[in-house]
Amino acid sequence: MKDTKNEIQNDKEELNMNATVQEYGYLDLSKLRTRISKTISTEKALQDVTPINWSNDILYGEKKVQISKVKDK
Amino acid sequence: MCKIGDIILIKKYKDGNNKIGRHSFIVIDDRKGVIEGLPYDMICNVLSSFKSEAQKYRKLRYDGNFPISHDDTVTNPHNENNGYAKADQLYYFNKDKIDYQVIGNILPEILNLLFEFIAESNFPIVEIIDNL
Repeated sequence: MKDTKNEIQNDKEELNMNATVQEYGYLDLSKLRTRISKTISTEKALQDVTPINWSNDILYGEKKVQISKVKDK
Repeated sequence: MCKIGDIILIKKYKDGNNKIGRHSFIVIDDRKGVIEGLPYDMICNVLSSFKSEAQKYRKLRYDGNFPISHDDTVTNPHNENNGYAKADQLYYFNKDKIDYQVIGNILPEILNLLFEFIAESNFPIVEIIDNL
């Protein structure tokens, strides 16, 4: 016999998850094909990148970071 | 387990390459695919901080860099919570071959802005596939 209360809760969670996933659209990568210039190594790609050294709260999973956009470039 | 919009911190790359530091990435695509015969299940843009104000000015002048802000308290170095995503680099990953941690997310509307930024720009794009 199915547990109706749990079924309803599971459906709600699934709807919430789907709602979250549906908020993100996808980039049409096929349109970028003509702009792909080359393939490079991870080492070379990251050589000019300065890692963001997150706080311990982030590193230890006590909070999550949220990325937004700088208002002015 | 991670999905589009997640911010991940990669602690170990394929084959345990320890020449590369711990970098953070935005998951911009979580669909499976094959590139040059190699399967992948995630495509990312790397996030970068700034070393100085002078470097910040230089980096943000480059067309392929998308400025971002984050809500972490104090990072080291602390750059007023600013940084950028390297939109001109596509990192292809196979989750089974890396060690990573999900540390946050990018707001959906900001990811959409990043996609518009990429789609409407002309900067050349490079692909990184040596982690597959």
